[in-house]
Amino acid sequence: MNEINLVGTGPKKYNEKKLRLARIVSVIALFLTAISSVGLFLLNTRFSVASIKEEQTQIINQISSYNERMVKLSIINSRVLEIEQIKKQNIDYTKFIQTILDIAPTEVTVNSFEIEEKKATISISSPSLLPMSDFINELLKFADKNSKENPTISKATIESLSANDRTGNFFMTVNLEIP
Amino acid sequence: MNGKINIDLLTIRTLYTDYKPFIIPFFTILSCIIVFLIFILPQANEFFRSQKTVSEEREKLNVLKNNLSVLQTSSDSELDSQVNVLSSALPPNKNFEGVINALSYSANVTGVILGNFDFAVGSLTESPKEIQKFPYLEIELNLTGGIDQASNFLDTLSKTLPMSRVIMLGVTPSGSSVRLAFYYKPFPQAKFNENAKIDPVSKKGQVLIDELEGFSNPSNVSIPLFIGDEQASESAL
Repeated sequence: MNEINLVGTGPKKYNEKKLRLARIVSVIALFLTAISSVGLFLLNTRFSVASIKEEQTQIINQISSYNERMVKLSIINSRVLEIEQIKKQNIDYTKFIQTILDIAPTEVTVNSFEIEEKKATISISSPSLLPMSDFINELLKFADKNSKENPTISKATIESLSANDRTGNFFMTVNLEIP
Repeated sequence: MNGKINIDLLTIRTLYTDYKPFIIPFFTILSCIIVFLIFILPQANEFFRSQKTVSEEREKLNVLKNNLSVLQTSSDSELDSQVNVLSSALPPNKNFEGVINALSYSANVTGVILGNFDFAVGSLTESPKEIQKFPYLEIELNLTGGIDQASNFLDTLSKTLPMSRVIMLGVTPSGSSVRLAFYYKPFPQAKFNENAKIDPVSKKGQVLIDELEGFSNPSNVSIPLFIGDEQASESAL
């Protein structure tokens, strides 16, 4: 036999509005938690150190198969730098000698011309002192043109001047310094 | 007021019956707060803290990617050719054959007769000292002819491999004497450093290689025989 409760359940003890608010807040909290968890998981997967390291390892493995090319490129780059440095040290001695010989007057005979590193020594002879003087003047004019872009002569010194009464020639030795 | 609350089973049951609909939202919110505090917040902190390391590692990754791209785009035959030219210009060891060939070639081309020469070879076994940045073989030789012949000879030599430099040049009406330095340098030790950037051949480097490719390279020619003055004169003609 079924029992029938004739007494009503009575008025509700809680506020419906508060219940709705609690439900809404719980749903929002659940949603935010889910979103932040998934978001963090994705961020950690995509931007974690471990994932980058893994990618690095893959690339390093690929690079190691090109070991020979790597060595060749390293040799080429170092050789290029070294050759450029050697070329910078080079001085065109023949051009310098030719320039000095060109400015020498025809009456002057060049007995010897020696150039080493940044010093040059030229020995000349002439039957007259005048062409020798002209030569010195030309050297001084050439030295005046000296600049950083176009180095010529930084110093010219007469080392010796002598005369030979047998041959009737004057001899002069001039030291030149190249900047 | 010293009020006492009596919590017994009946009270709990009454509260449960009265506020039953609040239980699920309450526990949901509580669980979310716990999950946030215990898992999400530390993870987020860790993530933001690791971003510096991540950016450093990402930079390394970019370098590696760039290195791989450089290596993939390089051609083996081109690299071989460039290594050959540069090694002929600056040999890895004392290349006597190359030096003698270069001198002989320049003399033959310019019609200059090579006189006596003195080769300062140095130790054959010792590797060049580290302090000596660019070791070289020194050779002093006499040339017949004046400044024009010497100039032609040196001009041809300067466009002939291996690379050389004039240390001293002396000219007299009867002949010239030249002291030359032929450079060599051992190859650098190949060390694989994963963080090191691999550069392709620069434009400047390419220009230099093109220039060196235009130079005469008589290294494949066999060493000429040392011949007498008369024969030398004929060959020079």
